[in-house]
Amino acid sequence: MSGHGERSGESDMNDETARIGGQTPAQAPRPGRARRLMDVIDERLGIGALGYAVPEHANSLAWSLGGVTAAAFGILMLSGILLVQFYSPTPETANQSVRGIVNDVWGGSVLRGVHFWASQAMYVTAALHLIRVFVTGSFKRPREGNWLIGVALFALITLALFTGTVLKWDQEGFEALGHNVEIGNLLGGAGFWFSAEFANQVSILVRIYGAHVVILPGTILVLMTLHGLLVKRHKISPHPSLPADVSGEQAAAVEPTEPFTHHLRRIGAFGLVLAGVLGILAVLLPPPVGATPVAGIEVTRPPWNFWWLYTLEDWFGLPAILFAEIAFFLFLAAVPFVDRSRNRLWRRRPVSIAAGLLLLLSILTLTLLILVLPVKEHLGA
Amino acid sequence: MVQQALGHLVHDPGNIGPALEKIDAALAAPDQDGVSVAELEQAKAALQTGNSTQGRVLLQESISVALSTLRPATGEETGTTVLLDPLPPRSGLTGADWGILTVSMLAVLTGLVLAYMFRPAENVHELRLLLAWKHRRQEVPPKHERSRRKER
Repeated sequence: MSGHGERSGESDMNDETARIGGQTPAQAPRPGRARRLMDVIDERLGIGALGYAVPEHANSLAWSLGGVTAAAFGILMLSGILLVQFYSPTPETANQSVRGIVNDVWGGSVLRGVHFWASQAMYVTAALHLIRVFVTGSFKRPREGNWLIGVALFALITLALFTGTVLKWDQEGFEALGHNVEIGNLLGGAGFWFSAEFANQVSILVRIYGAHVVILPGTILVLMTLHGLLVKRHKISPHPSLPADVSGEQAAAVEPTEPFTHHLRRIGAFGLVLAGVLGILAVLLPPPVGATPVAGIEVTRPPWNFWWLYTLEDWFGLPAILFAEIAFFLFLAAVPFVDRSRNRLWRRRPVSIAAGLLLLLSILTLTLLILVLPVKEHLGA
Repeated sequence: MVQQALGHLVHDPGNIGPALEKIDAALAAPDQDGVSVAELEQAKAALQTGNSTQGRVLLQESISVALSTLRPATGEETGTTVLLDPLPPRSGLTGADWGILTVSMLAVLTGLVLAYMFRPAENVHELRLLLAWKHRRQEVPPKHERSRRKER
């Protein structure tokens, strides 16, 4: 009997494998060509893994700012690859080659404009993403490590912005470099890379160029990938005003979800808006190219992203730039280790929110103060 | 120092004071190798009479010998030989600019429409209400259990 039963079970199994939805393979409707192509690609590259569920609150603009930052980075990479075809990174020719890109290369002015404005967009969206993560408490357990990666990414974005300023090799860029070299000297041995003496046989501009086109974007790409993989591993953090699961670390199971590909689709739409805005800005507000640089004078102001540091430098001298930057990034790095409560809602975290607000207001005030401060000489002072 | 004088003239053409200071320092410098002192003095005179264009040309010419002996720039050297003015802004939009503007605006509009189409089914406020409703429903026992309790 048992033998018969087993055989019967076997036969059922065979029937199940041979039939799809009650139909034999021959009767089953063949999937479309696009579907089959996707299946072939998925089988080999595993892109189906991107379809994991994300809670619905993650599809708002505020929770998609990290993705918009990545979109800006993509635009920067693309425009940067095109720009390096025409840029010459030697001091004698760098400024001239930027003028050549603007005046002689077809579409060069717009290309440079898109690159410049994309860098500004990346800085702003990364800062807004950082603020959103801070305010919604998304850095809390178990996401502390990913917060630190995010802070490191913000530092790298700032460095990329700085090195890009130097590359145009005008007076503003040269003075920015001068500040960097002096800060490198202040750091002593730790600042060896920033000193001209480290590799005196080549111009520091060439090394800055190497950092801008290889070291920094490469590191950003690696950290961004790690950042994204950790978001997948830890899942999108719960919204502070929505119920979380029992652990308090994940969104509630009852919250509706959407596949991550839908999240990507929405980020793509935001990215398209961003690309359009960058195109408009590049045409209407092309970035300037300053005069060829002269050593020993200080007559320009840094880009707006560094104005708060410039004000501090005016008050306390050049070392203030170094100490303020260190304090700023230490503050950011300390956030998950200081604000350790399980509360994510900003109203229930008055101390950390007040500290963050104070920092933000201080930076904004110092930034605006530059408008009333005269240009001062600090280098070599 | 002559290049520094030129730099001041380029960045602040209305104020020749800092440039004259640098020229005086160059004239008093012990090492004037490669610098034409005569042209430097002429440049100073031109600037003092308000002819800054002539002054800039003379300043540039006064260091032509020194610049001709320069090696390729290394370290922190600027590599500047001729001091160029900032690139003037463009006068107007070309046909290509209008084309890029149009495409960019279309991209913005398309992106906005797509972002609206792909918007989440519920916003946070609606999600809050939905989750609260689901929570209440979980707490309330099913109808048949409620009627059984009544029977008891």
